[in-house]
Amino acid sequence: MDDTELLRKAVSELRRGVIVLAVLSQLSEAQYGYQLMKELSEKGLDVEQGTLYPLLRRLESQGLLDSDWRVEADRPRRYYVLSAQGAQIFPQLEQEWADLVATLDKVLAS
Amino acid sequence: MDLIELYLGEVGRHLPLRSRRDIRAELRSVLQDMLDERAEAAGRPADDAMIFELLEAYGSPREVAASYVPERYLIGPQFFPIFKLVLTVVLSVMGAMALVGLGSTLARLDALTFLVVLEATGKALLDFAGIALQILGNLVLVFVVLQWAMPGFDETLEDETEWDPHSLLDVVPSERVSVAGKIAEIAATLVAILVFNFYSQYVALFFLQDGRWTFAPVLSDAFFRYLPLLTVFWGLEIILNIVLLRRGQWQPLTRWLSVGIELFGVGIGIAMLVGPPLVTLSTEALETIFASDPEAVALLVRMAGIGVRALIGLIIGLEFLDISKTVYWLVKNKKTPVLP
Repeated sequence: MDDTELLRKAVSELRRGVIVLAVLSQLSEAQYGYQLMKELSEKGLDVEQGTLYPLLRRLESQGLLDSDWRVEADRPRRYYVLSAQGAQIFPQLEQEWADLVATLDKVLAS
Repeated sequence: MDLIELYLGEVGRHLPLRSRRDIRAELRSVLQDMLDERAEAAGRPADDAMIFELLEAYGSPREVAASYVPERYLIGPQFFPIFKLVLTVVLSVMGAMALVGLGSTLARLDALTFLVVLEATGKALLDFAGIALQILGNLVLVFVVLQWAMPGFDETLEDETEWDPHSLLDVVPSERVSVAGKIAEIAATLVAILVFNFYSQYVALFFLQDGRWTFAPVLSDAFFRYLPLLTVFWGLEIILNIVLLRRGQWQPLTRWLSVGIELFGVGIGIAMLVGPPLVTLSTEALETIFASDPEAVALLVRMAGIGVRALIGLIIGLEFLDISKTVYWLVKNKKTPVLP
C-alpha cells in the first residue's frame, strides 16, 4: 500500500465519526438527503452519497433521527430531522467534540 | 426503458427485500435531483448521455447496494476459532481413518503395481475429498443455525466492550466449563455421527484371509434402527456443548437441559439393551474365520453379544448416577450444583 492510499484510509477513518456530528448538527430542521449534502459541501465538508444516505438510515434506526416522505413538485423526497432523543443527545456530543479537540490540540502540541 | 429505473432495479437486486423499496425510492429522488442540477449546469435538458455520466459517477449498483448493507458473515468472529478448531480435529481424524482404509485396501491387493496403487490412492483421495466437503457443509450448517437461531448468538465482539469485571467473581471455578474438554467432546461426537452414519462398514472385524487382511462389518440391522435416535441424541449433546462454550459456565438451565438429554440417551440405551442383538457377523465371514470350529463361532457371537450389552449397561449405570447426582443437587440446593 503506497503513502497516498494509506493517507486516504487514515483520513477516511478520521472523518467517519466527524460526519455523524456534522450531519446531526444540520438537522435541527428537516432536510432531504441531497439538500443536506449540498449544504455540508458549501460549508467545506464533502460527503459522498454512498456514505451519507446509509448513514442517515443508520442514525434513524438508532433513534437519533426521524424521517418522513413529502411530495414537492411531483417529486417524493425523504426528509430527515433530529428526533427528540437526537435533540437531547446532540448538545452532549457537541461538548464531547469540544473536549476532544482541546485534548488533541494539547496532545499534538506536545 | 428509463435508465434510472434500470439502474435502481440492479441496485435493488443486491438489497435485502424488506428495505429494497424504500432505498430505491430514496435513490430515485436523489438521482433525479442530481440530474436536474447537471441539466441546469449544462443549459440543456437531460439526455441519455448525461444519465450515463451520472450513473457512472454515482457508482456501480453492487457498490451502492453494499453501502446500505452491514457486513455479513455466516460464522461470526466469536465462533470462527471454535469452528476452525473443530473442523481441524474432525478432518484430521477422518484423514487418519481414510489412511487406514487405504492401507486396508492396499493390503488386500494381490499385486502392488504402480498403477494399482495410484488408482487405489486416487479413489481414497476422492472419497476423502467428498467426505471433507460433507463435514465442512454440515459443520457450517450447525454453526450458522446456532449463531442465528439462538438468542444472544448473534452478538458481536463490540457488545462485549460493556462487560463488567465484577462478573469474574460470579464464576465458581468448579462450574467453569473446560473449553478444551468441550471441544474434544464435540469433535468426538461429530466423529461418532460421521463414522456410524457414513463409515459404518469400517466398524468391523479385521481378519486374515488367504494371507490378506480383510474385514467384515459387525453392526446388525437392529443397530441401524436406533441410529436416527442416536444421531439426534448426539446432535443435542453437540448443541448443549456449544451453548456451554458460549456461556463459559454451567447454569441451572443448562444442567436441566443436560439431565433431559442424558435421560433421552438412557431411554435409547435401555431400548438397545432389551432389544435384538446389535452386533452380528455375516455367515461368509464366520465360515472364513472359524470354518473348522463351529463351537468357537457360537462362543464368539455369544461373547460379543454379552460384551456389547454389558458395555451399554455400564454406560446407562454411569449416566443414571450422573443424572441422579445432578438432580439431587438442583433440587436440594436450588442452585447450580458444584460438580466436577
